[in-house]
Amino acid sequence: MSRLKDENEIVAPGDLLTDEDDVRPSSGVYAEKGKIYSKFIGTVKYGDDYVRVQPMDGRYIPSEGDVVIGEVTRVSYSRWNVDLDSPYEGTLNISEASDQYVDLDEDDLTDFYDVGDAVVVKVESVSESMDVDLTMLDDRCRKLEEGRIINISPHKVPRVIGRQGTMVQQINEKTNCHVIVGQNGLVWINGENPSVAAEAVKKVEREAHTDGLTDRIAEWLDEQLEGGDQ
Amino acid sequence: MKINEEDIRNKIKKGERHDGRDPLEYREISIEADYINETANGSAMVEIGNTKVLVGISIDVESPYPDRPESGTIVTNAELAPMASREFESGPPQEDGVELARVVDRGIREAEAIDLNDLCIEAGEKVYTVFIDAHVLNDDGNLIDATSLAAMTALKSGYLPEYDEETGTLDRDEKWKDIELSTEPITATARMINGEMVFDTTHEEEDAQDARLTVSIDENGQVVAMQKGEENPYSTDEIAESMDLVKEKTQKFRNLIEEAVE
Amino acid sequence: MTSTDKEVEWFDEEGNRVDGRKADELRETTMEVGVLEEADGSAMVEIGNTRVIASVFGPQDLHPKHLQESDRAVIKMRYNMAPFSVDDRMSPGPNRRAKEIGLVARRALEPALELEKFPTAGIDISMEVVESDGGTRVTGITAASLALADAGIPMKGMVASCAAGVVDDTPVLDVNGKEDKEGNADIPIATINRSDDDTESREEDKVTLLQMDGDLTTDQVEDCVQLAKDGCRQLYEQQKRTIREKYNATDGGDQ
Repeated sequence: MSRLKDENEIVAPGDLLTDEDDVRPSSGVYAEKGKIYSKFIGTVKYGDDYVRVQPMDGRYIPSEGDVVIGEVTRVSYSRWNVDLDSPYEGTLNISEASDQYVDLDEDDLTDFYDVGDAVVVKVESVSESMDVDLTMLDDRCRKLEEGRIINISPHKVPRVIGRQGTMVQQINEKTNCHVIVGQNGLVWINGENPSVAAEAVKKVEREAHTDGLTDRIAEWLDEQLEGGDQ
Repeated sequence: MKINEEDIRNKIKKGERHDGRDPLEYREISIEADYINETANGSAMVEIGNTKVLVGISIDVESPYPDRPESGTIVTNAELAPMASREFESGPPQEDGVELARVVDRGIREAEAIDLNDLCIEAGEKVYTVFIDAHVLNDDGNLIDATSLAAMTALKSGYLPEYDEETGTLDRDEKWKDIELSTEPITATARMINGEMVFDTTHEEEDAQDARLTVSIDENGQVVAMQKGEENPYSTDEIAESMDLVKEKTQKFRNLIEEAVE
Repeated sequence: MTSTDKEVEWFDEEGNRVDGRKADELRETTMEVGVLEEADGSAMVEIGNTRVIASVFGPQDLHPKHLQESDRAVIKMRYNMAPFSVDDRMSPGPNRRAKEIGLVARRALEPALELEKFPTAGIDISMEVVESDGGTRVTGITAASLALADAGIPMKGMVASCAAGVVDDTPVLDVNGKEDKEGNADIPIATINRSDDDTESREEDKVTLLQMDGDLTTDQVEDCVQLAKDGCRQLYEQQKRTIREKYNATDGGDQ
């Protein structure tokens, strides 16, 4: 395949990536007259027979199976609305919130979750008209009682989690914190050194497209925590 | 988010903030005077952390009010540009912009920083009007201090253009004289979060605040203006403590402005 | 503003304009992307003394609901001049001219955006003119394009924009404020740019904005359009450099 850019090179919208017409356009690119161009500012990745661009940034669009963090914005008779920091809001129906029988006339839904509550939820399904249905019936889902939430780009989430969770694990261990990274870019942090953990997450986000990041973050964390301070 | 507000209120009781600062500590401040090259008669861009405010001074000539024939006018205006925050976007009347302008204006007007009679060209006929326009470009909290700093820097480095009597207009390229300041009030805001005093709040921290007290101090350490905002009350002790701390903070600002204006 | 100079020498013996430029030269241009933290995307572009900051929020929830389109995102455009951006202070807030410019700017940018990817959503673009010395709308469009890319909105290419005019019967590129006031025409152009455009023919459907005010011969119009297209191409190259510089600056190290 004619690779007009280097692997992982930073490209801009409209950059020509390849002019061979048997290459498959994957995500982040588009094809026109046998040529493939980037749609985003991002890093280009060439596969055996495809090319794609990993965007630097962009808002979260809900996708089935994603475990995300959100805030309850409304409580109605049989469901909750959850803000996912996305153009599309999520709906959690009572049937997806509890295994137990709930008498809607007797019980108050706010006993479960109230407006302003932060929750970890899973995206159960997304319809064509972008109706997003959520569920709590997954081990990873829960209400978040304390701690803080910061925002990163959803596109940097894989890097912050790391291969098999190694990056976030490193941050957890060194800062003695519990960090949950939502696929929508909301990150919950709670523990002994939350400010350092938050800074570490932001640092990974900023430098996600560079090499040797895991070691650099480990070094940085050690430096920050040396004085035993925050 | 509510979880963050609660966390901020809990942590501040232990003297901790989300970004690791001390409760009384300011973020990094940068001041650039003369940010506007040609069109404004004085300007400054101030950044406190990620908060960015641009102030421009425009001078015009008008007839004075009949009851004050030798006084010029100062008009302070603040615009919260929609780009500054996701919340400003949804447009309607900028209540907070009006409030911000009022607070900043008072710091200049009550202190009589500019002698309005100094702006007189011809008694009863023509006086200068000084427009102080603040444009908030990025809101990460503490707009009052950032805007006040920018306004004072812009005034200090600003000038009055020459008035051409023949044409009755201003010659904008000719400087008549620098804007003279009778006093140089510097402003800082002390806020209360869950019973603790905090300076230089971020946007998130302001969602968790209970009260604020804005104090303006002149170059002799005198308090020349003070105003309280938000619903909750301040105790007399808290007010006294705020004033002392503000004196300290504003001295640092004074130095920063001097450097910027050189 | 002072009364018009009657005898301005628009070109000296060497063909230099009032600010020393040649007829086909752009003013000194600086660009920066990612200048505001709250916005999803932002950029600042400075051409001569004209300085515009652009921001993008979105895609996001769009209210009121009746403005939503079921199959694509809707763009809301704002163009505003700061009171101190001009010699004679302007009242704050967008006026009618600003609303018209907003409309034109939106049409210049929309064809480059993949709006169908975000049904029912809204994208808010804002341009604040911080200082004005001719070419504010085209500078705003160039900045908005960078801000859109910064926000991660999918685009077919980068939109760049500049204006040509006629001064002393000569077509010139990128009129400054003085030339704009006295000159005989204003022709702003915007084009969607891709990296391989030099090797293929520049088709007209890549031009997303083309306006003309003034009194010109067809030859002059053609010359102006060509000048402006070349100017857009130069600005596009600078947009790309600006983007690359931002990310290469964080390579392997920390700030």
